[in-house]
Amino acid sequence: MKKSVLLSFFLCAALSAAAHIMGVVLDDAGNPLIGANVYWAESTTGVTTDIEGHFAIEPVATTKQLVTTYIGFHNDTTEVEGKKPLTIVLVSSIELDEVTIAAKKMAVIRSRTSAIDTYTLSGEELCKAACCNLSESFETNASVDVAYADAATGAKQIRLLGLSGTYVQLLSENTPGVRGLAANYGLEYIPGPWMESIQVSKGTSSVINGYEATTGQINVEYLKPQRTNPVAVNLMLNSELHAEANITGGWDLNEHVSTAVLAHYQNGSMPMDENHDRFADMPIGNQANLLNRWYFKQGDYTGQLLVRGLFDQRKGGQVTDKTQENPYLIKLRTYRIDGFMKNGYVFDHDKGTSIGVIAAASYHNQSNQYGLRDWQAAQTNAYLNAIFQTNFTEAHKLTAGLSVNYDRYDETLLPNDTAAVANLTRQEATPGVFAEYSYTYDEHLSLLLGLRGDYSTQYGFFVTPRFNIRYSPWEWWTLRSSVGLGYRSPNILADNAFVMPSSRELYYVDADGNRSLLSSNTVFHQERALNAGISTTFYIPMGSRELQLSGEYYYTHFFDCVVADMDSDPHAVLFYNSNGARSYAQSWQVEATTEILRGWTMTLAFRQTDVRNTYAGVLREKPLNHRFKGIITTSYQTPLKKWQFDFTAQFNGGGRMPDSFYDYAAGLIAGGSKQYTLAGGDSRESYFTWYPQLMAQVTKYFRTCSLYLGAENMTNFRQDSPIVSAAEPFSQDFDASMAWGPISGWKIYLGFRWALDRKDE
Amino acid sequence: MALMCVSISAAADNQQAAKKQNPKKATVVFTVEIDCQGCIDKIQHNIAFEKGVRDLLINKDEQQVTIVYNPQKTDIETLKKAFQKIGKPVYSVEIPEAGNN
Repeated sequence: MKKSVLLSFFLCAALSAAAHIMGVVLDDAGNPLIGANVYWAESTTGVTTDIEGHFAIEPVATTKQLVTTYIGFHNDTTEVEGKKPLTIVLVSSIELDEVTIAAKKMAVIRSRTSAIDTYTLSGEELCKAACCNLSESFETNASVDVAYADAATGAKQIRLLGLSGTYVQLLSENTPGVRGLAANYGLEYIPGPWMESIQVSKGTSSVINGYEATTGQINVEYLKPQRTNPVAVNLMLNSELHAEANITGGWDLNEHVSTAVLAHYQNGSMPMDENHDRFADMPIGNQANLLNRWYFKQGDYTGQLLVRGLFDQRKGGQVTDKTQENPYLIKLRTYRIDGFMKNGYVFDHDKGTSIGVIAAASYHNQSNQYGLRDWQAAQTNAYLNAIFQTNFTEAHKLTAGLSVNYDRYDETLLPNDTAAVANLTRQEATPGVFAEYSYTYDEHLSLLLGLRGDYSTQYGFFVTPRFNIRYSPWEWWTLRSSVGLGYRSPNILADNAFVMPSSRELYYVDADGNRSLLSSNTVFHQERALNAGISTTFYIPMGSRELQLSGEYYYTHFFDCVVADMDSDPHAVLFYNSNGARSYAQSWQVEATTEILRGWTMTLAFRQTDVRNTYAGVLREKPLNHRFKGIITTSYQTPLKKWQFDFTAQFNGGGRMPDSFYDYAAGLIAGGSKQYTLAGGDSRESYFTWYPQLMAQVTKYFRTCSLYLGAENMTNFRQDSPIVSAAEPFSQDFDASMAWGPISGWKIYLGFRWALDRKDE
Repeated sequence: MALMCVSISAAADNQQAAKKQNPKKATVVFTVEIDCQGCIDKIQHNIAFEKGVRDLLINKDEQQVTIVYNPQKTDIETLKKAFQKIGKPVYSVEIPEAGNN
């Protein structure tokens, strides 16, 4: 704003003798309007009409839009071309139309124009639930599922299109985010108040960010120094005496440089054991997280720098009185430092020609102990991406570039006290080139064609083609389709960390069926998959509002993937490459969302998934997956936005338990549990039930702050006795890895947000 | 009888009569510079909490803010000052006609 006023001042000074824009303002009967206001849009430069309705105004460089207003008349905006005198006619507002209501800004915005099926969760959507960190940001979302990975460590896992989060590429501002070792607790390393928005894309997305997105991509944008509040504080406390504090702030140091600091601290001190199995429902501990970022803009150059440091430690396991010798303890400790540097330079504004170079690095060190099992791991990652972009014409755009990704894992596993330490240290460098062509025809059609070629020092050369198309024949109908390949390098322990809190031995089974303990000689293939999908959205006008109705189908086929077999042996997890054996996931989803009345929005969605792998030669449903999910989420804001009420009900479908659970399930059913059913006959299959999850939140807004109170898991649904042999954690049967539902019961939380507004808008 | 005629004709001529019928509610439309989401937030966070404001509608396309207020608790001048305080001066004031609430 300041800049445009300054600019117009210079221009006015320079053109002091230049012609003013002249004109007359009349009403629709031809009578002059005296004292009408005439001013340039988005500026404070204006004049008023004289006794004959005439005016003369100096042109400005920033805009050609001239706004004319007068009491009792509709405003007029005229595009001023040339120096001809203007005649502006204002229409009386005696019959004022129904005031156009600025529709309540939808908190989840589905892209109408992108070729890739993307939707953005804005800050407003993130504030509807406790949302302490990224893992809790999807509670009101139909497409992304978040669940506890196991019954003892509190680690959360996301699922998209029915498949594990390992097949979703998680990015932080388009740099490698939660991946590798960080996948374990990584979702909890991004606090809710630090995020400006989250973009969720389904399907294989763009090749620009790499080859890892198979089912989709989730990109987190942190608060920006040039946009965020100078100070914002968020405090939260819940009924398990877990407290969190966030302090963030962004400031402009001068017209070129802005910086922001984001800080987070959390602490939980009371171990909860609601199901009385003598095991803490969740480990407790503390986390300190600090981020500093810089934004620099001068002319056509933009630079960014971000550095983040994190320390997290948790303790869980057996909750005992002091008389117990040698309790089973879970001790998790992580420290991490990561950061990125981005440079962008625009060569040609008309053609949008630009070059960007992104460099990112991270070092993640964790020490995890589960009873006698000891897993020590460190991951070093370095990433470089150079992107060149240009628009040949408005319709044709090309993006091309080079990238290099380097991962080094220093990893050891002590399976239990008596076994030898397995050394799983490895490293992989993957340079690659990519190109993406984009074609846009009006608002009707856009397509994206991308191709990557990468060479991995572990797996050799591989090609990633991807295609996305969006077709909107009419304003009210959009059709999308995508098809593409996705790859990833498996990290056996980090991808399957949920098996750690158990006595199951971890084996690798080769193509001939030979079992061996995991060691540095174990060779897992690169995981490769094809994802194809089709989705459609109808935008149906309903009075002054709009109903969005959408449906989609996605199919993922794995050419090769790592199968974790928990069926064959109750005391082991067998890992083997599928080697072309059938492995796929199908997902159908329908969703409806609208603003029902002013301030009241509602979304209904239902999804069904079918995920199957070949286990020991037989194609079977993947265990511990939910067959369907239904969600109703609604939000009401009072007209002055002083109160907000949010409510979400989730219905998670049932699924299959691993065969090894059969006897335990039989025992629970005999004991009165309604959560399991057994297959009849000779089959050793058992199934878990569907369950509801209800949550609600009330928020009161004040001028600069807000107070919120909420409840999670209001029906107090908990998985019955989720830990097998909880009383004897050092026995062969001990198993806390088979979690399918909530481990903790209801929770109540109270929070407070306060922020100062930026002054320069 | 004469008094009645005068009052009826006064009501017919005076286009502001509607305002007197409902003294607890009045509407005014301000033209204000709104060019980004931050502007909308600033107006929403501040004006909604001004004494006497009953309803607030922000129209970015028309660059207008419609305020329904209680004329016994506040007035147009006070509301204009509130906008001035948050750095969003009011360019023009419109009073919509009666019967359009």
